[in-house]
Amino acid sequence: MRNRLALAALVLALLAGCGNDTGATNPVVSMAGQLAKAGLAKAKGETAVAKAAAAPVSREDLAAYGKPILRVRSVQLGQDGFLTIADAKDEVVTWTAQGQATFSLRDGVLIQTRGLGADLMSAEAPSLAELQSGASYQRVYFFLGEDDRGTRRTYDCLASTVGRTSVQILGKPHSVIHVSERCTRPNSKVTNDFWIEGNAIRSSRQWASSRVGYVEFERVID
Amino acid sequence: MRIPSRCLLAFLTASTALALAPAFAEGTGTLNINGTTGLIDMPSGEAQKDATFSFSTAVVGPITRATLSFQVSERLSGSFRFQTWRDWDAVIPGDATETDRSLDLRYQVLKEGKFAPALTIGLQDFTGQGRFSSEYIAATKGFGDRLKVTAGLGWGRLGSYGGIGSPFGDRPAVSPTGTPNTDQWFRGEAAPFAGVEYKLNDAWTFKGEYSSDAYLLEDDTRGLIERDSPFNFGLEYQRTANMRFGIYSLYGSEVGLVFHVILDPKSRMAGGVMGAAPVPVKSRPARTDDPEAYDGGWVTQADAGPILRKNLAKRLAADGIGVEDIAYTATTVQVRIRNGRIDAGAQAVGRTARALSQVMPASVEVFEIVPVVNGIGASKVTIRRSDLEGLEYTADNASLLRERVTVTDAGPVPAYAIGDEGLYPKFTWSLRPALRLSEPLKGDIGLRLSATYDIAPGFVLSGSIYKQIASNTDLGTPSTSPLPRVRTDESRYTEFGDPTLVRLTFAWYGRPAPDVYSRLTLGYLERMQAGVSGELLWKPVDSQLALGAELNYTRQRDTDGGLGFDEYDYDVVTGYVSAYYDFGNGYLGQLDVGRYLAGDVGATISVDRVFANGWRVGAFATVTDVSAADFGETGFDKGIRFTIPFNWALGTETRKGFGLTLRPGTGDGGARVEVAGRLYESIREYHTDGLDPDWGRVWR
Repeated sequence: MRNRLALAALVLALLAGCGNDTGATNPVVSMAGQLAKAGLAKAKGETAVAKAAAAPVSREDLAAYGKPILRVRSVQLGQDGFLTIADAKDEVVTWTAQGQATFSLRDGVLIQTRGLGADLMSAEAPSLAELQSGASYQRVYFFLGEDDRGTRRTYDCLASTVGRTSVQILGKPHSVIHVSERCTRPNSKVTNDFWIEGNAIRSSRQWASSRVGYVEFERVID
Repeated sequence: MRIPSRCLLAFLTASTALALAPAFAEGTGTLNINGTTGLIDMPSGEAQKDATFSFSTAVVGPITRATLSFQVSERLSGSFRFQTWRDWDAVIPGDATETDRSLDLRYQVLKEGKFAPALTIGLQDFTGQGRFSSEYIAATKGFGDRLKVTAGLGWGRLGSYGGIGSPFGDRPAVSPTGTPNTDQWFRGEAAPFAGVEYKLNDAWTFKGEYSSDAYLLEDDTRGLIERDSPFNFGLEYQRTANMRFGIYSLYGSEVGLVFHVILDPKSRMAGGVMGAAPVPVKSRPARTDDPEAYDGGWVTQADAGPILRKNLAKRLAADGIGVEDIAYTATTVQVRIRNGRIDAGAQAVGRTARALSQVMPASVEVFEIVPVVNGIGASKVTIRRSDLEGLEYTADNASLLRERVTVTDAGPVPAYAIGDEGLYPKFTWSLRPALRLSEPLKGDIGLRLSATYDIAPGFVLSGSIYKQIASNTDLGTPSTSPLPRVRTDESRYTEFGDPTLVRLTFAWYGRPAPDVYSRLTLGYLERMQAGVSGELLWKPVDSQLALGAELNYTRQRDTDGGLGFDEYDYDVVTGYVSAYYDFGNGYLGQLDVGRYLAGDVGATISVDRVFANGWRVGAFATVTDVSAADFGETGFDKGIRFTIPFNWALGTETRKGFGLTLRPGTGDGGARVEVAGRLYESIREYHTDGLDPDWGRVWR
């Protein structure tokens, strides 16, 4: 009897279930599978960031769109994509990958993500001037924590200029000043790096959240 | 044998008391083969992480234990166990298999400190026939981050080997009434037990213990196993947070295997909640730059309403949100929404506000969003558009927005509201696999065909049919209940009604007055009962207290799953007055007083812990004027229930979930008709106590 049950469960797993009830997915069986997969998914960090555009793309191809383009890379998410502007308000620009995931940066400093699962909901982040002047300040990250309750993490940060250097972005060299922002709190530290060209952040490596980790940004096309 | 084990015990106890090793960070315990926090067969002084929900299956020779445990709070935990003994007729003729259900409670009196051990007091099988009954005090202390040492004192089963006398008098025999066996607790012979737990590496743990359970029932009485030794030892393996395996040498004669599924309702298995990013808030031009944009003259355009409505509906369809109707003036818009998919009310409100910012002309400053459930408004969330614009990228915008938002009674549908003629009537249906469990590992799998016909707002015709595909249930022994068999014939309904018309009802939901909700349901309400059910609920949107009243007239249905009423000549009027109270932090209490299905009179008390993501774990007990003898071996109706939302497991946007109610035993007393769409749970999500815990989702 137990075998028959198992067999039936298997058959049902293959049945997608049907109907026009939009608020539903086929659940019971896939959930059992999810239990087993959960560890794997955590390691792989499955997200909604577009996987497209990972193939070799030339600067000319991107320039042909005639739009500003930001490259976003995350080792932890296993993602590499080119984003376009979804929204710009004052100094905040929101970049999107096919509407699935968005990154909002104020003057190039990451303040929000959406669609990544473990999102950075908002942030009290330094201004570009603070980064350039080697200021010390508090940085506060806001997340949805356990059971979606709002949580915050406060860091004491110090920005310091590492030096003048040159970065290659999709074949084009840029003369930049490397600024490193070291942030600490008990039992935790975060280091964000910014490569500033003139008065704008050309590229950066910034921490988003525990699960997402560090994300690299490159302004490919202005 | 006895002398060396005493020595070991003395050594362990002494080392616990005397050692001055540095205390390690307060750890959580591991589970034992009984599915509770402990060593192998013995309990420990530790607790699980708050809210941990675990399901354990242990097989030891002819004994199987399936246990569901929940860490109710940081210190309190409860378990429901289903135990099976095979070869039960090995010595005494009779049934080959014996089953028993038991309930445990344990409370951590002392948390582990620098010198103090964690100390827990526990009751095992505290209401049943006493097959597994015991009480204990257990202390556990960690040394470094690898070693933990436990010592304790047990009574009942845990006092059956190596006893040291009866400090609190003799233990009377169990009189199985189903009520807590208080006169037995901590009585009779007490016996010490002890053990160690040593973490070999990140995945493997060694456990060894000296057990004070003599297994008198299994060894001496029934001859199921040979208990040769009080020493048990074994290894446990855990690589991911959700699964743990154990293999042990038990009683010097048996090999035991255990498998634990460990779930944390507070953290989604897939990480955060998935789903596409929201559209940005659309900002309006500054009034000084473009005063014409703020002109309210557009309201006089005849086609403005239908166009705005259509544009809004198009945007919200992407989030599974339906627009019931829209009403506006030059400065205010009220939109009534039906949220079909997003599991958090706050997020549905946020997505609607963002869509309104895209669609509404600049002169509209106030957004009133009314979530509609079963056709009736659940609440009204009022957001100022300039707050939405100003806070979109501000740090801590969730708290700042909440300070500026008001949540009030939904009020009536505005007279000038523009509905959609295409919205009603609306027909939805689904055909899905379903699982029905009558107890752990026993149940059936089948297909459920469900359909809903929304005739007009608040008027719903719905039904469902279930067809078994495979089952391992049977008719069992016929009910001998002297009461009307409103519940104890359940197995007959399962076996004879295939396919079965589970439900076919017409329901009318209404808002007779501010803060008051009403429901009238007519038809085949559930598998066993049909009739009419009416309910009224008073619940102000920001009140922790709600009051309700329900009145039902039902007839008992035939077991064949059809429309008839020939088999039972039974009808009854039942009714309740109810009080609901939200204690905060997700703890909900409910008290119902009234007349139950068998005509008995009494009260039900229930406590549930609900999580913002839809997880829910609770317990209930009903005491009525039915005598314990008439109810059956478990004395009165009680049990536990839980719901696991699919969005928690899968990360996808869905409001559906898997739920189960487990009882130690079924009787006909204290039974209540099951009706879909009871009011309190339908609307609570959109009241402040439902919206606020995960309000941060408003910006998601």
